[in-house]
Amino acid sequence: MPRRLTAAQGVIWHPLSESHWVIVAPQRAPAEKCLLLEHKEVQLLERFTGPSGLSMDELAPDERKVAEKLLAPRFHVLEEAKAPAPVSRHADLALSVFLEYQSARALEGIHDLSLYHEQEISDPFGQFEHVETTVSHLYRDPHPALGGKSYGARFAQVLLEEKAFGGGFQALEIGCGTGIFGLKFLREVKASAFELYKNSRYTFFDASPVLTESQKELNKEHGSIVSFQRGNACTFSFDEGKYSLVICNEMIADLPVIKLKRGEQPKEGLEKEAWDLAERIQLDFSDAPPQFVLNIGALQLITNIWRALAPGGRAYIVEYGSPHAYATARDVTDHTEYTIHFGHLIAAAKHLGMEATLFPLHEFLRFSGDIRVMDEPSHNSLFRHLLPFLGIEAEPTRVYTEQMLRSAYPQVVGKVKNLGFVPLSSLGGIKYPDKFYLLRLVKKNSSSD
Amino acid sequence: MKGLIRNPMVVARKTEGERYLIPLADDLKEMRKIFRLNDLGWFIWRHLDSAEDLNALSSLISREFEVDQVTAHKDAEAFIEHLIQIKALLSAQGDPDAP
Repeated sequence: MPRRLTAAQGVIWHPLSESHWVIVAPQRAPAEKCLLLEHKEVQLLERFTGPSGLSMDELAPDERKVAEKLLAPRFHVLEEAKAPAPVSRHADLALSVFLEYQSARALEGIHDLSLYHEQEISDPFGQFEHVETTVSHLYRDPHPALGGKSYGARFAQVLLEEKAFGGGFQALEIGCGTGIFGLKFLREVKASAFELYKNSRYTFFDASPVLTESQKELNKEHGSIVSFQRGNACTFSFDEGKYSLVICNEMIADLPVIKLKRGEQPKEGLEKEAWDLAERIQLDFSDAPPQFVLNIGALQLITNIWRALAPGGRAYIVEYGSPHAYATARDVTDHTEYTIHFGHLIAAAKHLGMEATLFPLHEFLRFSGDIRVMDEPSHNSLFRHLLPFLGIEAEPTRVYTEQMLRSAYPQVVGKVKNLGFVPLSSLGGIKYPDKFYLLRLVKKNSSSD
Repeated sequence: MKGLIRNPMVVARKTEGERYLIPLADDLKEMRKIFRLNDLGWFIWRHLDSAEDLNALSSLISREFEVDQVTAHKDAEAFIEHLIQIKALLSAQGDPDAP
């Protein structure tokens, strides 16, 4: 079989002058990923952009020489065309269990980010733009994938459709980030159901003083509807039975976790307390690795939410995780978070007499997976390399459709070649949050105590 | 079951309606050999602790799956042999050949 070559993953190019183009080749060996090519070399490169590439046999001898050059590691503008390797379901499962076990082995006792939240966060917007991007931050502005609404607004829309509010609500948002989720949530309620909005109250609760200030600043327009509190959500004494609505959006992965050993009841300390709690709520660890990480903070929070909820009240808890996999570590820039075992949270909620329903987040918020957005390699090449090279300030933490890109960077986008656009559902991660879940809890009207 | 213990380095996991045994290893490549269990296999794995011996296990199987005792015994024996072969089950006394 003759060698088939294709433009390497993430390679994009942009004209610099009549004779030269800047090429971004993100996989090239040198640290500088931008290089210059002559116009005729780029003309040849364009012929390699089809899905199955181009065979060397189809090139003239002088073209073959250029192709060989572009294939070399110091260019890596071309690469051999190959079909992507399929990932089997078994490989996914093996990886998941492997990570569960390795995460537990690497953890010493308990992992608690309380001090990080209280003391280390200094730049609210930067925290979610650069340190730990959330789905909420990524979709902070209206987006076609959410029917033209922002994440917070879509959330409110779905809750309004669920008739979750009655004539008004007493809401408690726990772990509120910059405050933009609440801002957009309340704006949507105000626009869709003004009477309901007027009769409602919304409390922002956070561990971080810096984020609390941002929440206050951002939500001035909601006046006396909003209030602000600070504290540790797992241990704080919320007013019992006060709230008809509790929202925890993408915060429980930050709560404490603890290492336990399957079948080995600890004799003392926090491990014993965690084990006793797990026994009380009848968690089954028979499917755990020999050592595992328990989302102890999230379990404690479920109890605290139950206390804070009024009878008939609802809680909506969103996070990255799985219905059946144990917590695994996720390193995010300057700290480590842990995925959530939602099966354990459901068991805890049911033990307290709450109704618990788990939804994949993208289904609950009805993300349009067929909207075409820029693929990851193009996104990285454009925002990490090309725009900085051209001296253009950029806001990378968004999910760009072609139209959004054109309106944000009109001076560049029409000229950049080889940007890839794919259905949103093919991306995964936080852009198409199919590994995120929403747990809806309803406190029954008659207490189970 | 007397004389046999589950290998602590094997994880039994139910996910999306399927049941698996997943051997743990330090190297992910060594973890590729995952075993899918059918209803009978899962039942046996779950009841290894509560059944004292093969006969007791066969009785449990016979009741659960409504099969005669002989068939249940044959199935249980074959499956346990397979579990020993893949090292999902270990001898409770340890390996007699071990140093």
